[in-house]
Amino acid sequence: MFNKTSEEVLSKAFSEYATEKISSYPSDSKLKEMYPIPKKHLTIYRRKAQEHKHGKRIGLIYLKRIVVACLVIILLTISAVAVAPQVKEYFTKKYKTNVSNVDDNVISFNFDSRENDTDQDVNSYVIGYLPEEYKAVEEINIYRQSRQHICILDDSRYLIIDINFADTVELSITTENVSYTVQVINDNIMHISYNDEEQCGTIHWTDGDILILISGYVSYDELIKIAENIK
Amino acid sequence: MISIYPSMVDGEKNKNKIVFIYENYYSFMAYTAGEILNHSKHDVEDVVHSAILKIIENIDVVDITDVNKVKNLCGVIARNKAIDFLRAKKNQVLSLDDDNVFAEISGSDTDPGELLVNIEAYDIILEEIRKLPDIYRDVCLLKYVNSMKEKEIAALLGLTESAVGVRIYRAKQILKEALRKENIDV
Repeated sequence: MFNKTSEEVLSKAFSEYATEKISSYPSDSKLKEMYPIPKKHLTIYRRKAQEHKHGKRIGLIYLKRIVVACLVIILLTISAVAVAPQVKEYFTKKYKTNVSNVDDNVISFNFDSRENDTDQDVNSYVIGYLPEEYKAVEEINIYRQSRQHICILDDSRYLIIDINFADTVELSITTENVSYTVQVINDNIMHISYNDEEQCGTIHWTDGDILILISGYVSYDELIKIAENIK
Repeated sequence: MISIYPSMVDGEKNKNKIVFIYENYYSFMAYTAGEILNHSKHDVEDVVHSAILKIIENIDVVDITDVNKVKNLCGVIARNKAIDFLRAKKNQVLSLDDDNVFAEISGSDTDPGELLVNIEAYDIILEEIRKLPDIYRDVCLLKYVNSMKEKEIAALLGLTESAVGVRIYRAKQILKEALRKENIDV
């Protein structure tokens, strides 16, 4: 015979009862036959799980998500509408030329501000420098409103210098695979796009109502030198 | 569905606990609830679901290393949820007046928890436990089998801590009374 506090005896007694009770149940396999894990009501469970996780009714959760999504869309729309003109304005102001469109790969320019009474003449420009190899093959075409120096070395290499009244030209520059820079040379703002891999590029600038465009397969330094020497 | 419950708890250990309980004790809980709900499968599913949610809420205090303890815990929760379900269905109000009885505890000059019992009394206690109403027995099972604190039991069963204390007190009083009837000195 021994004495124990009732707490210890109660623990033992209740544990024995629990074991007894559990052993009175059908076997686990029988229970699983009787009550298999249900595959239905998945939606209800999911909803309740979401509600439980967020501590809110599922409707409120979705409403909140919809409101947030709408706000984001509105903000993005406002930003796009607000920023697009600013980009155009930025280019226009910074480069002092008529950028008509800017997208991922192309910058487009429109030249449409020719004064009717201009006294400029495309033939007044002197091309002070040409790379030696292109000098030999230079062909000059002079028209009423434009002048072209076309130098074709072979199928893959050429150099073209185009001097036009700006209102006659629309120009698009690809920014794909090229470096696009703007430099001030001889007080003119020059737009330069150059493909290092192909060793070719384009440089253009406006002088009053005249647009000067140089394009061809020359080194970057040569391209700049040609531009510097057109006066 | 089994992937949903783990998403509701934090920590890999707790997620594993939920998966383990769901996979191994769903049917057991369903059977326990079914005993009260006359094995109405539709009601049983709802009750087991709410029982699992209750376990998830209290997952930190659940010990899955002892099969009997887990089964006891799952059984008690499922049984309580089934009783709650029946009450809600019948729109019944809990008749147990725990708060009034709480006054009894304060005024009592003998704490049943401090009683000494001898081994002869053990069989009488065990027999009396079998006869205890579920509402008293369940809290005692959680306290004495699962070694849970009254606060944890209260959270698990959706009771106040004082109500849990009252139920344990009443269970002990019933056992004490049974021993006295058998002329066993307590």
